[in-house]
Amino acid sequence: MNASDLSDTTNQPFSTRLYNLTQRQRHWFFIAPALIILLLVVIYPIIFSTGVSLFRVTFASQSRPFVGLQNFERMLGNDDFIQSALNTLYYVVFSVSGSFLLGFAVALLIRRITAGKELLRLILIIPITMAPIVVGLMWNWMLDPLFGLVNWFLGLLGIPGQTMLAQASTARLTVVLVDIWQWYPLVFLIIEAGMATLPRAPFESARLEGVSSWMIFRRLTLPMLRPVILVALLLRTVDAFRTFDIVRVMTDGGPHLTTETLSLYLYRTAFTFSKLSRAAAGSILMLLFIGLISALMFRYLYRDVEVG
Amino acid sequence: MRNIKTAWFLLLVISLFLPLASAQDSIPLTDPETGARPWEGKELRILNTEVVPILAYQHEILDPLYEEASGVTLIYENAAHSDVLPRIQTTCAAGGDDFDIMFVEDGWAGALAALGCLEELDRFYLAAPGDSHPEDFTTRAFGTVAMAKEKWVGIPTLVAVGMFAYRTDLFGDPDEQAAFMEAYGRELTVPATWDELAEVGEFFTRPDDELYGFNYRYGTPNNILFDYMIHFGFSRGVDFFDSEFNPLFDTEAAIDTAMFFAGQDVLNLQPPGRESFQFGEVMQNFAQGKVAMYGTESWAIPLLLDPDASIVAANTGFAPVPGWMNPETGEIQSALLSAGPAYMINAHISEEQKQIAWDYLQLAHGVAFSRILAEQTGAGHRISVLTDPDLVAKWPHLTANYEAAKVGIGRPAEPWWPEAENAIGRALQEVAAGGDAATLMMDANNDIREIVEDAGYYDEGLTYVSVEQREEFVCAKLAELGLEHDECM
Repeated sequence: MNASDLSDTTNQPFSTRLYNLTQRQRHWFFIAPALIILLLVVIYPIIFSTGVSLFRVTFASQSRPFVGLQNFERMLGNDDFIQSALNTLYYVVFSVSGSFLLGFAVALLIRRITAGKELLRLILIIPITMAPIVVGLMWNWMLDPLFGLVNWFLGLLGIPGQTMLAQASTARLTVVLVDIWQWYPLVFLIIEAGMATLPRAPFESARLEGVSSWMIFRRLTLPMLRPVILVALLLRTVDAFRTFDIVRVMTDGGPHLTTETLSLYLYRTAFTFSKLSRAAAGSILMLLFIGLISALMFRYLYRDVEVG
Repeated sequence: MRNIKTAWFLLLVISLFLPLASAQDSIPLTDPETGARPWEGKELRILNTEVVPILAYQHEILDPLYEEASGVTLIYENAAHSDVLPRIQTTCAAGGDDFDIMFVEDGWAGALAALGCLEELDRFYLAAPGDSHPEDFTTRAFGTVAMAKEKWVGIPTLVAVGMFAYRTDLFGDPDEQAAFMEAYGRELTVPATWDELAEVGEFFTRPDDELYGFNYRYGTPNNILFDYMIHFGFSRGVDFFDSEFNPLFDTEAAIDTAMFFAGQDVLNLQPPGRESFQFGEVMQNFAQGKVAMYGTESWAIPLLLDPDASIVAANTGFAPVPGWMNPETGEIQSALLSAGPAYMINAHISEEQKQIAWDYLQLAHGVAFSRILAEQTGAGHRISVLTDPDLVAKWPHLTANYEAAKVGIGRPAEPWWPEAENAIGRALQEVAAGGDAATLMMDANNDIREIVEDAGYYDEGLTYVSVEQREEFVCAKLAELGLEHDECM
């Protein structure tokens, strides 16, 4: 039975038509479980949250009056929300670029090492194997101004004790650095895996023709790794946007909001202040914000991949 | 004849149901003296936090005693302090029974009572009072920690009152005394006023020797507001609200207090990192001998006196919190915040679990066990403990603790209080970071007004429960339970 037979359904009995239909549409059977789960745990909560954001809801509210877009107006007019959004953007930009550059550099460097590579790789990926809460607690102690290892070490160098997490000017950067420390191994692993799959022939030809290492990297390595880089950047960006645990443990959003991310702010609004509908409005705004940035990234990066 | 038969039948029916009715009214309790273990083999789940050391000591000392006496297994879930309220709110809102007993801060009771998740304790007490003795707390403490307005909902696990810890070795050192006399022209004494605090703090601040004057908490909105009010605000005359629920953080007294407490002059006398210090860090700094004085609360006493936990345990003294000297009258004004958590019963659990929970509360946090805790650690929050001559002889700070517990002022227990607390706490943190106190406090005041307005309090004409009203609620409740209290006479 070929494709034209399947499509000619005018004179076929119902059972045959049904069989043909299931044959043509059988891919739906395979993706249905995933789709149902996606609808239940992603789409439904988004729709529900959107609904909640249009009412006035707290944990204890007896009545839930319809307030239209008031929750959105309140959120957009709220300085703390705007500050948290800007903090999140800062976090995404610096954490993603930092972990990407470090991960990439380590991946390039480790290729040059011949002895002890496996052991070194194992050591390098330790941060990613730790829970973010543990990482936060560990660095909190390391950075303690009176008892921490970092300040003890700085003291040996004659540098006075630093209070990195207590100062508004340094807390945000410190948390970002810790995040980079934890997540650069992810980029390193992805890039290294990508590099291992690159064909050797173009590189050997280039070397034989006397092309410099920098030109090989720019003209061969980078373009050929572009899809892998895209994956690494997307994973890190999405992850950085929803940062919660490291910040919660290290600074709890302080000092005075300088490290408060959107996730932390919305968590507090919903579960500590019991402003469920306002937090729902904030989360919808956050979703739109992430969606917009992700769409821009996809558009820019995929266009380049397709052209390339 | 037929009537007699009917009467006999009715009597028989009534006599059959009477034991059932009385069984419902009485609650079997564990009694170490008689060996009664009615709940043996059962389990009790407690949502807890060990954010302050006394809670860990209670867990280590009292719980094994209760488990041994009752045969009940206690299952603890220790959450981070900042996670406890969200956890209870979400569980309660869903009618969840994940835990039987929960740790509830006084400032949260209003929010949780509004959710209907706090079980009132009157009926348990009336059925089987056990060793609970609600009249054994000061009315201020009981009203703040154990009640949600007129309702009795908890047994206090600690009553936190402001205390002032200091290094007796430093203050008693003749060389230090002579140096202080030379520098300031007066004797070195434990500070009694804010000015003296700043002066003595300056004297002991020697960064090269890793020694600083004193230490307060500025790390989270909750912590900073606590220390602002406990150690400074109330003595300066700051209050949270007027009777119509207008917030009072934009008053001259409130702004002055913010400028002093969170101003750079006072911050510079504290160890580096002060802007982010929370419960643990400030306590650790004192326990490791890094500061000369420490504005603390009564819950820290067991740890500060524990030689295994503090290298200056043998040289730690306690004094009343320094007050504010009124320049017009020359009088040193002093007032304190009284706060603390109580263990409360989840209203959504089964009746049997509620009875086991009551069994635990009345015994593990009753009079006899509280005495055991005080004997071993120096921590006390019941009147019987704080005034016991033997215990006072062993732990002299109990007297100051008792006086503080009698005059402590509680935080508001309204459903929206956590949000208001966050608003004012954040403003104070910004003052500590160098922001303008007047502007920030006024902005925070407006934010709080908006929060109160959002909650509909102004429309509904609700009035703020004053300290005196809280005491009236306590006295009325105790009278309902058939109890007398000296402070209610």
